[in-house]
Amino acid sequence: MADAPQRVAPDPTGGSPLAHRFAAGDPGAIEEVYAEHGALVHSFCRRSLDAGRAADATQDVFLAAWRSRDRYRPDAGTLAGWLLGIARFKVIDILRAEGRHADLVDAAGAEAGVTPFDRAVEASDVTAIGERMVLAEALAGLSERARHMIHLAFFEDLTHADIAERTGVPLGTVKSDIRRGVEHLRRHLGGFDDVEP
Amino acid sequence: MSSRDRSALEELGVTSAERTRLRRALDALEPDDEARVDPPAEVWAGISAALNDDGVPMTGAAHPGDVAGTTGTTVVRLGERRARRRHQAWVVGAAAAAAVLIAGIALALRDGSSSGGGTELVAAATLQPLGPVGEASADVELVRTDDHLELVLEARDMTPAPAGRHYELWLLDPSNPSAEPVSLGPMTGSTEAPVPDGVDPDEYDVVDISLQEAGQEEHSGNSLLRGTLT
Repeated sequence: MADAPQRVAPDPTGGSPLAHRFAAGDPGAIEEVYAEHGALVHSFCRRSLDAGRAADATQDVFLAAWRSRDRYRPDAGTLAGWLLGIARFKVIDILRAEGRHADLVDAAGAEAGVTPFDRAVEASDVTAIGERMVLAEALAGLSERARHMIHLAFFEDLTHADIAERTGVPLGTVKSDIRRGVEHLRRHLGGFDDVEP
Repeated sequence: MSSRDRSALEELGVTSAERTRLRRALDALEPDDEARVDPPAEVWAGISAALNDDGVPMTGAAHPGDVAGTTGTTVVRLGERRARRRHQAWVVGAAAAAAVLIAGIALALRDGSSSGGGTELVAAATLQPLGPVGEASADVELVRTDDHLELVLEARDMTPAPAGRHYELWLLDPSNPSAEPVSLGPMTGSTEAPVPDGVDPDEYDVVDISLQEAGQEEHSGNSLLRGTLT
């Protein structure tokens, strides 16, 4: 809910309390999940769909998520990632339905429609957008210091000691920041990957 | 002490495939990846109604805009949303942004700091009755946040649509008889609706609210309120 107090610090590995309540079917959880992630899901849908269809798709994603909540595994990934995983296939389905429509137009002799190759590229683009939005969501949950260290680890391939020297942050803090940061990114992508078409 | 030479990622058991995937995605991050547009209020209304039909007790409205405390427009950068929620600074100044080396995020941050993450009022209109709407009226603003345009509509005294019908928000281009109306989606009252990419508000400058039959995709021709953006 809008101003519910933060009851418990999120568990970095086993899923947040809200994720567990959602998976357990607590009716109040779906409202909180929507309040927390509605904009993420809707923004993702809007990247590929017009306003009306994006709104419909967003609604479908949350209903599908609630109705298949027994498939959500808080230990496998974050709710944000899992919801975008569902949204990814929803958007691809909608675009494919349009592709079929284009085929019908094509058969009737109109100008060339969408090819299977186009559709594969389209699905790949949708997936890439989802992956990036999941990562942006994860990065926004990290401190600026942790994001900087994550960059040094991924793009410069440095050791913990190098990063400590480069940033002036104690080695123990560097280790825990990077470990938590990497785990945070993994858990977001883990949720995204944990959805099947 | 061979571990001294192992990279941080190797020590954490990050495989080369995982590293490649993450690097590629991190490298490709762009400002749009962190822009957030709240869904219109109708989305939660639809979810809530469907869950009620499923027998799930719903206690009240949960709209992302309510949570984020937004007024006016609902297009926000992730940072603004997070900052509001957690009081955690995310948007940094240009000097600090230079130190944030994740390429896409840094780009997004620069974007956010140069524009201040604010919104610009592009045009506005008061919608006038065209049909039997009683006391209903509406004001609408076209606002721009970064590259996004959005209509922010404040409706007053709109009674619920009759059963089996709904209200829908449109942009029209009256100067071009062959231009199809552009739907911004169903609505029940005050709402925020992104303007689809490719729709030029200089041409589509008329805001229209119609009464639609269920399943009707084209404009019904039954307009209730309308106004020209100026």
